[in-house]
Amino acid sequence: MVGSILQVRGLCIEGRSGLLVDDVDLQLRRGEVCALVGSSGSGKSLSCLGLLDLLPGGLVRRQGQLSLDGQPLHPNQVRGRLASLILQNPRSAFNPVRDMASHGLETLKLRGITGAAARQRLDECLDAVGLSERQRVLQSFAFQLSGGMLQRMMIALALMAETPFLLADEPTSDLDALSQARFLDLLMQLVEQHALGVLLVTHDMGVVARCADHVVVMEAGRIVERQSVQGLFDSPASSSARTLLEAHQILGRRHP
Amino acid sequence: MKALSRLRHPALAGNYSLVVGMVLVGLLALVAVFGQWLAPHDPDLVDLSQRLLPPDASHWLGTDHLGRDLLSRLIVGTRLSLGSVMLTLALVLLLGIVIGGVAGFVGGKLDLLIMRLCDMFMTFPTLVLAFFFVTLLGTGLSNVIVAIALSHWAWYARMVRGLVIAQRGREYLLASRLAGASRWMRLRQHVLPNIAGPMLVLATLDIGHMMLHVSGLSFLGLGVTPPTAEWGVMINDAKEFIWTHPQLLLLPGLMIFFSVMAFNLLGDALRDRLDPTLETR
Amino acid sequence: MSQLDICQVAHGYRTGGLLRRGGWLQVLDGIDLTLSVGQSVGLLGSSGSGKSTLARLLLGLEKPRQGQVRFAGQDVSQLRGEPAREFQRAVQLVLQDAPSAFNPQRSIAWSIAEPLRHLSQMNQAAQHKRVLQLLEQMGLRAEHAERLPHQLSGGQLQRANIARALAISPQWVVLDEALSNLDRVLQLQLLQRLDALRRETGTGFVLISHDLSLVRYFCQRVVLMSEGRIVEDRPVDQALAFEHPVGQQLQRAMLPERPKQRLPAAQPATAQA
Repeated sequence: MVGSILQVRGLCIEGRSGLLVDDVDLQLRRGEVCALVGSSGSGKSLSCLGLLDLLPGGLVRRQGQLSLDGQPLHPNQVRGRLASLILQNPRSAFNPVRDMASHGLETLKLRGITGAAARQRLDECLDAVGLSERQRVLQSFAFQLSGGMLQRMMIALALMAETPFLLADEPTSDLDALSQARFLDLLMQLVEQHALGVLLVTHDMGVVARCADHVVVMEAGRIVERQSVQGLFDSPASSSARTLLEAHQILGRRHP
Repeated sequence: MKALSRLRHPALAGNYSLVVGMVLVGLLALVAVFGQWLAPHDPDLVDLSQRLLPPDASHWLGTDHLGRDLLSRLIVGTRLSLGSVMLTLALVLLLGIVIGGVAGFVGGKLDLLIMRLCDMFMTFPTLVLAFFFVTLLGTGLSNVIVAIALSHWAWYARMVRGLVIAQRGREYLLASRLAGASRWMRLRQHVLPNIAGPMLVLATLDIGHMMLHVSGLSFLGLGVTPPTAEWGVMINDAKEFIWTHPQLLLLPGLMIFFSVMAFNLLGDALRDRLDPTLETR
Repeated sequence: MSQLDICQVAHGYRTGGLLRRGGWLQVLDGIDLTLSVGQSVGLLGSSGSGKSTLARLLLGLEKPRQGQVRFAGQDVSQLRGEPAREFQRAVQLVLQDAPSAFNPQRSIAWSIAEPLRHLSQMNQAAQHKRVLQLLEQMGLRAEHAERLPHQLSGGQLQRANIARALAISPQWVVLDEALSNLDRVLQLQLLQRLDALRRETGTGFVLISHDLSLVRYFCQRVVLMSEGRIVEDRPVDQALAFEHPVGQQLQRAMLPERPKQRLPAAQPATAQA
């Protein structure tokens, strides 16, 4: 399935105050990272969640046709099978009263892997994400692990689910600089090795520079720019992109 | 209180129960306050020639075994039944907030001491404790009120302590400390207002339970005694007539039932209203 | 204007409960630091380096197990009465999580004016004027004054948080990861305003952060912490290059300024100097 494309067309999400996401088209290609950027309130997180129809209460997905290589799909077919999700706050994604091993085994069971084969797969995936203290991690609960380790665990779960696509909603915003660097290194490594197709929602142009192949810029619920990453950094067209880039560049220099 | 201003927020589901609860409670309050003037007859007037009459034009609900007008007795009883519950609640809240507040805010050894004291009190079912205190203090309505307060304070103190401790972890308390506010100021301006909401809800939901205690103790002859008009006492008075004139027990029982229901409705609705997690941005 | 000194400070916590043997968690060790007036100092380190604990000790919120924090030559933990208030007026703190730093039932203006009520002699009218001035300084509008915390966004609340810390015109403001939850654009705006304030009024800042780019942009001096110790203390200049491996690690971890051509084999991130 190399080069497969997961696409959503015409995504529209409505909230109490009106249309929050308006006619958004997004494309994920295996082996490539697509960054979705915008300032707070631009609708980028909602678009990411809305793609999988995982919206919080009070918000409604009015339209949005999912397709894989042109074949139309229902969100249920995509969630957990074709695409995994990583959220900004890793702690909230785990059941606080169950340990990591049970989370992993649950994911594997949905894939039909149980027993000894499941245990082995657990170990493989934890190794792949660099969680070397396997026994300790597997027996731990969410509150015992740091944010960085929980994010790695989330990727491990995504690996276990063997989904070809990954949606990540501001995955490093809550991490410190070192954890962020390690996480992004891991992500890029997996994109290379497993041809993961990634949608990376972020407000940080540094993350975009590090990871992205393509960039989609959103403003007030609409897409205002689509470019390759080099193109965006060379000549940003939208005001959002220009503002974000300017802040990034100024902070990258020493204050005069 | 700012907490109450949230009641004016745009409609949430359950608006209905808030209105109904408030109307019923309001009615009860009116009857309690103006009871003497609303009652058509003197509730204590004994007239054996009129005993055990069925409802008629003069006595809308009939009369009891001593010829007293039932309706008047029920109306006047509202004041005692509700009033004693309110007094009890006030006492329990006072004890609970002071003791629990101190334990939560000061912490340390004092907290440990108070918690062990609470544990001792909480070991016993509240009714049993109430009996114990009545035995100690003697019968009579004021003793019943004190007894019930003494048997319930520990639960409230625990609740308040938990809420205060949750508040202490909030960073705005730290910000206040850094702004130079004294401990007392912090307690008064930050901690207490923020626990008022949940406490209000807890108290309202508990009224029904306390009412049953008050009436229950009166029913057992430990509280109000005849000839005073109080719903629990009325049920006690009429127990020999349970098969012949059940309405003598049913009617006061229904009053207790409706009052408890009214307060529960109100408490439920308040809890839904004041629960911040339900607020949508 | 007085100097803030940290002398031979070590700090830790007892661990373990009633039944287990008590252990000891050493959080800070051998900390010696002098903060001069009007400087912007960065306290850089990863999670667990002890920077937040140091912030608490600096503010006098806790007493160090060993050593002293001195303000104007006096031990901060021994201050009482007027000298203690003087200290509170001199050093203020801004924490990371803005929403929980405000009483949800009080307006923003009320919260911002709190230090003025307790630590200054201003009357109500003067306080109100100061609050409006602070709001403007931090890029908020007058209409935000009467709003409740839940009506403002995270970014706006953090501006208000900083405004509150600046209310009594302190000599130092300690920002404990205060910008970490904000987006880059807002981070830059706030740092620019704070820098302008520093030049104008001589207010000193201690920026505690794990993000080297913020420290490099804003601070004149950087103190690198690792595992409870200060491992490097150097001025920030054009060619900032750490000698200590932890500093070099943080430099490598900085995100690139521009995208590179993706190479076929997996490569770790390399920093742009």
